[in-house]
Amino acid sequence: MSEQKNLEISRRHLLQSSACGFGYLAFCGMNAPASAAPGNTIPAPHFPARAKRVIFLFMHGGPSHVDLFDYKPQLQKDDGKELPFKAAPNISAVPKLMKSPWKFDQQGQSGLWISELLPQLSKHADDLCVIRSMHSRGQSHGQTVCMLHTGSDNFVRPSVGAWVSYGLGTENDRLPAFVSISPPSGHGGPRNYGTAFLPARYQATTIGKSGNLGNARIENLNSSVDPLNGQRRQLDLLQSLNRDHLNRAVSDPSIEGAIESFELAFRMQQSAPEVLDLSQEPRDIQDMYGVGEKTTDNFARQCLLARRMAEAGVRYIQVSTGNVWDQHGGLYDGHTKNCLAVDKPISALLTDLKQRGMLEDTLVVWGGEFGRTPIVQGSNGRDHNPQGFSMWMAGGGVKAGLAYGATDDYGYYSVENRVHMHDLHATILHLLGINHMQLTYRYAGRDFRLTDVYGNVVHDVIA
Amino acid sequence: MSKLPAFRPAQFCSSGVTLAIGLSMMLTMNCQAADESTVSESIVNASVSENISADDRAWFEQHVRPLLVKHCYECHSADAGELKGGLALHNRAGWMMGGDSGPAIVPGKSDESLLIQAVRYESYEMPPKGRLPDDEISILEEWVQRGAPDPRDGDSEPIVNQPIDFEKEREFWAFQSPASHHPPDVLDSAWPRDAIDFFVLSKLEKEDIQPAGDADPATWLRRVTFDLTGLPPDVAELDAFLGNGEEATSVNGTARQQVVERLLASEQFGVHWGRHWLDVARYADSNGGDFNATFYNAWRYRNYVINAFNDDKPFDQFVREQLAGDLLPFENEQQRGEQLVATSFLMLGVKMLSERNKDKLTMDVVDEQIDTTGKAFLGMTLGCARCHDHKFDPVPTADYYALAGIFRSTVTLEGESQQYVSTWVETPLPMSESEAQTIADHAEVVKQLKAKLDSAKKNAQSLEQKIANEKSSDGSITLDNDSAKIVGTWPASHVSPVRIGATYLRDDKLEKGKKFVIWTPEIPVAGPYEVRLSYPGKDGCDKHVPVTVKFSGGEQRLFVDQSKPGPINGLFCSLGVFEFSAGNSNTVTISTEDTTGFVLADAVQLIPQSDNASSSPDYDEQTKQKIASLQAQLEEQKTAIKKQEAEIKEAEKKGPKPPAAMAAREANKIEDCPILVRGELAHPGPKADRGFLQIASRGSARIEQQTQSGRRELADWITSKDNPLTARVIVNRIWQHMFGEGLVRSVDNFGHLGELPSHHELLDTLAVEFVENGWSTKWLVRRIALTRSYAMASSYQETSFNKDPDNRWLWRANRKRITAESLRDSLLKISGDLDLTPDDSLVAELGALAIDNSSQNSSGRRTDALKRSLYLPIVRNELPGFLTTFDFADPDIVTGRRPETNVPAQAMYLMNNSFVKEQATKVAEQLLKDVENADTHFNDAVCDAAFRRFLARTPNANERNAITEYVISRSGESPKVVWADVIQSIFASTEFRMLE
Repeated sequence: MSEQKNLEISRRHLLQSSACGFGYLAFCGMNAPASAAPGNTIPAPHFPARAKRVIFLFMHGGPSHVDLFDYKPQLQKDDGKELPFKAAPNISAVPKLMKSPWKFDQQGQSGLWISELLPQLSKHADDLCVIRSMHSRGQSHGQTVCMLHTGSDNFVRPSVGAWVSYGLGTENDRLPAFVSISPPSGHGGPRNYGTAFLPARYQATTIGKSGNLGNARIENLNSSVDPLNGQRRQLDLLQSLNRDHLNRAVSDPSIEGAIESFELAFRMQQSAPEVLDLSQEPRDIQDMYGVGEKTTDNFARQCLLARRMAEAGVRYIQVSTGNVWDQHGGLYDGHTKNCLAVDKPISALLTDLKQRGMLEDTLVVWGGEFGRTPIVQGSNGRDHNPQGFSMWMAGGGVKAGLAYGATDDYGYYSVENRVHMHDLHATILHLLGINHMQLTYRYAGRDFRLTDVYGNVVHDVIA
Repeated sequence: MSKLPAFRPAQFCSSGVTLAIGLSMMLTMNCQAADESTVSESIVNASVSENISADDRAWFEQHVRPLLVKHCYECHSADAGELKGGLALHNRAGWMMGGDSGPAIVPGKSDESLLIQAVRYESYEMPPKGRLPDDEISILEEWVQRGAPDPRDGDSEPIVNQPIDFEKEREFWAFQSPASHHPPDVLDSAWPRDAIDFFVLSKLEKEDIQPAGDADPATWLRRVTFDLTGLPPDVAELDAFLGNGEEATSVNGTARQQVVERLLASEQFGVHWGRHWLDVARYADSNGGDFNATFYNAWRYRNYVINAFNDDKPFDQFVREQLAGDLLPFENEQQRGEQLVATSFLMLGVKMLSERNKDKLTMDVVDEQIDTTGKAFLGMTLGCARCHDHKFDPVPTADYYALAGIFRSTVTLEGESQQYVSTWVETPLPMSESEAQTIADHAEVVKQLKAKLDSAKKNAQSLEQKIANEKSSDGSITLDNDSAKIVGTWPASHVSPVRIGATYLRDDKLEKGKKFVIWTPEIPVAGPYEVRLSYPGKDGCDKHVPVTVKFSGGEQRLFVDQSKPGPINGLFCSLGVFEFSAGNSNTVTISTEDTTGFVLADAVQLIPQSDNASSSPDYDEQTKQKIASLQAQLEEQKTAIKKQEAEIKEAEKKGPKPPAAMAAREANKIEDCPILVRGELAHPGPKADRGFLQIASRGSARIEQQTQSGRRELADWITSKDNPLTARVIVNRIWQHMFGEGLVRSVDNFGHLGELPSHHELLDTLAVEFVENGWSTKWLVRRIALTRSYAMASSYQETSFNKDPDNRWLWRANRKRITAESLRDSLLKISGDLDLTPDDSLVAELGALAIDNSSQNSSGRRTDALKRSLYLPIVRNELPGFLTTFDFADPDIVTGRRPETNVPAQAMYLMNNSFVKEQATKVAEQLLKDVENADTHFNDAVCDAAFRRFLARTPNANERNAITEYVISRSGESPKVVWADVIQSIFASTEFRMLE
């Protein structure tokens, strides 16, 4: 117990020192102390962090692991045959096996199996740590999307990014700690980047929506007046009114916080547009991501923006595709199109992070809310499969070129070295230097944590 | 009923997936729990290793022990850092005693042993990293079948489960009945105006803190106007009040009494205070969560709440209606409807509607209802007790499932809107005569519209027929079925639009061979004619329909395949060319002889095969004109049809719908709920009698009757005078909204982890008096508003501040934030744009899914209505931006106290949002117009007027100077633009957003 106490640093102490960077101080300073619930201390890193930041690439809809990363010769062989064991309850697929229409090959030095759908990413095989034994809770999108983002399939809980931003703060005083690019509007919507009972300052700033970057704007960020000249003068007037108010009040942290927040907003207004401006990237970099190419443009811009955010010090960045991976039918066309849209941008992101020396301390995570059944739905579709699926990580202290865990012979159930979504969360936090059992927040009479009462760090995937 | 003992597992929320074998659950419900554990002990002691045969011992050592060591010890042995699920497997006593779920092995019965079920992945999934190979599972099964011979001695640490001592737990302040106290004596007896003030001053005197002076009358007026209605006082109200002179400064004098009465009587009181309750009731107009279905009828509950506060409905009645309105007696239909609407309270939570495991969904919804009921009415967090006895508060799991039984015997979800997606109960509401009349009138309107449409369609058909006739008026003769001779019953049909004329005939496959349709054309000129038969052919019709043509050369029998459309234009088939003599001696006859499918008869067409009759008709001028005119008529008719169809659609959409409410009702089956071990459906334990919290019960906490869910009993129990929590919790909520902080600051948590009351005796006294005064909210608000405590200034005093920086003893007024709604509504009120009339639904036009799961757009939500913000659509996952930016209560959870943040998004909203700019410009225009001599850039009068509107005061010298300088610095620009920026700054200022 006493050991744990040493790891926790009081908020006040944190405010006085700058252990977590200036930005964090600024964010803390914006809040009246009264808004921090009693008994809540901000944990410092519990041990040295392997990753400083996370880029989570969310494949909304559930990509098919048996067509991408989980090669199953037995499935190819038994195409059309009856599934020899029981299918999961409450699904619409029939228990008839359907082989993958795509060829698999071993890639790189590591010999990771990757299907021909991802030719660009295949070149990064030796950077990837593919977890082939993922499993999660919930059979529908709503439950599993929330499970992936908040660790709960039913209750309202803070999102992973909110926990991380609560735990580590930001590295940049002009940008938020947590940014979600084109997050889903359905299947939990804002809950997936929200704070639930954590203080509001930990929630994501969003850009775009439902897989679409749109015009890449942050709401109310842009002033209609010339910010440096006109707006600064108006802000000076406002701040003089505020300071007069503060003088009369003599001491009021809430008024002080508001005054600071106007300054911070003004600074954000100046720096954020610069980070958002992709045209500042050289042409060859844009080309590498696939900016301007019809099939890849949208996701390329999202990935490039993610890299710029990471570089600027944002702690947790999520990039989401639209809800496009849900191929209950039309598997061939759907997955062909989706892979085409993300393969090049993701591969470029890895290359780019690497060439800047950022992959070492940036954890990239790829995956959907579940995988898809090896059995067929309709004539050419696959149903939801939270019972077993693949996700991968790269950089940020994970073992590269590793395939971890396994599903059964057909890729249906996770059977070997099973990794639950809670375990993945515990592992992500661990890589960020956080003990998932100690990152807690007291609410309604209980200490809550991201992993609830679950979660085991998967040490085997850590380099 | 006897008192139920309860247990507290040693491992609370132990981490990691574990074989959680739940002793506590089994025993919690067992009245002989103590004896039971003695029994376990004796079993453990009785079993000794000497009884094991040498063979068994060897077999165990060779096969079983290595497996246990390899797969189980990591978490379930003395060496495990933390014993998972309370289960030890490193010795015999460990599995005999078992963990949280009871003994792990039933010797000789592998199927009944939790350990075997777990390794088979049938219940728990152990080991969690992956299922053991089948041969290893077989070994464990065989071991258990053999009687689980186990030579490993050693004691297992028994789990210490202490039953809750309710008598002792009731010593905690919140579980004692509140008692009324005499106001304490105070030294400065001139200060208090109300008994409340004695309690407050007494504490201050004890702490040796001087209370702040009175706030000036304008500050008080602004404070009380916002606190009671959420709006600022307007300039006329300010002037009227200050016009009372000395009297306005009297804390409880008539001037202030009049103001308070005026505000209490205003409908805006219910709007503002209703919203406080909606925060607690996690009100929303859509489900949110995984499937964001629109709650079309939630608004009825919202308006019910507003009315309840405006009517000052006794709070106990308000509670009873929300929990059990459908079960309460009523005096008239209107009351019945109102009470039904009240039960929407149970249904407004976020639900994972697409959860495919519906039993799980039901329990999750029940959990949400228990959690909300606990926090809202009792200030208790009960969710913890779903999985284990509450760690901090005396709430055993049995009490949780006692409540679960009540809610599980209540129906709130019913049916599916699409596969796997549940939907909720919509209960028809009684209609007033006028409502019923309106609906009937509307139905009549729609009926007439439809009749008009029908006739328009017929008209179009007849035009089409005429055109067809004209087009074939190259001397051809068309005979429809109405000109045929009919033998037998041939019902007319108009199902298929492909036909000549209004109908065609169908034999209905009856009386085969006895029915005929005979056409006898009048042939003007003898000669060769092509005979065509028309029929709307389709699958199911006969493939071999006999048709006989009688012509001058004799008779010919042909067969027509009616199972598909005719080859010519999808309508006709040609029977061939026949020589017809003039007159009426020729016939075409359809028979049903030897047919099995439907036989159809529509029309025949005879086309003269003369020289000038070619396949591409070359109409004469007259025919061309006729066709053109008919075509024009037809187009006109078609346009009319489209328009009428749209009209009908619109009328049906917009028309009054029979009123319905999201209202709960009793389940067909009333039953107790089993205690679920660790909250898992897969592990049901013994059933818990339906009932309430034992800790807050003075009599029995269990429900005797078996015919109703028990919601009514629950409501009665919550509102009973004996319940120590309910009155305290609501009084504290009201206090918080008036003073900014509750007497108990953790307003939703009165348990051990909540805060203690700062003024315990005051809270108790108010709770008792609140009940005595008919649970009247207005009574308490009025009383507080006229106290000296409420009238204090918020000013800083160094000595007091050093002694009590958090103002727990209330030495001054707390500086309060105004709510997001007030912020917007105030700006609208000041600009004159605010529409104060109530509204019904602003989501009626949304689709069944308020936001599509893949949608890009967010159209349809009327967030631009200039109503009070409370009426704006609370579509979960898509809340109005300004609300969330300014700390609106998250409708996903119960919120008794909104958070107060200073995020930069607020600053950006105030600086850059176009709504703020527009409104500020509007105010600037008005001010410049109102104030005479406003032709110069700066004008004291403009400045004063702005401050009076926004802050109920005139500016001080600093403010005046700052504004003057600013305006002068922009002297070249339009005054309207410059002043709009000044107004925006005043609006954005901290003082405007706070109450002194």
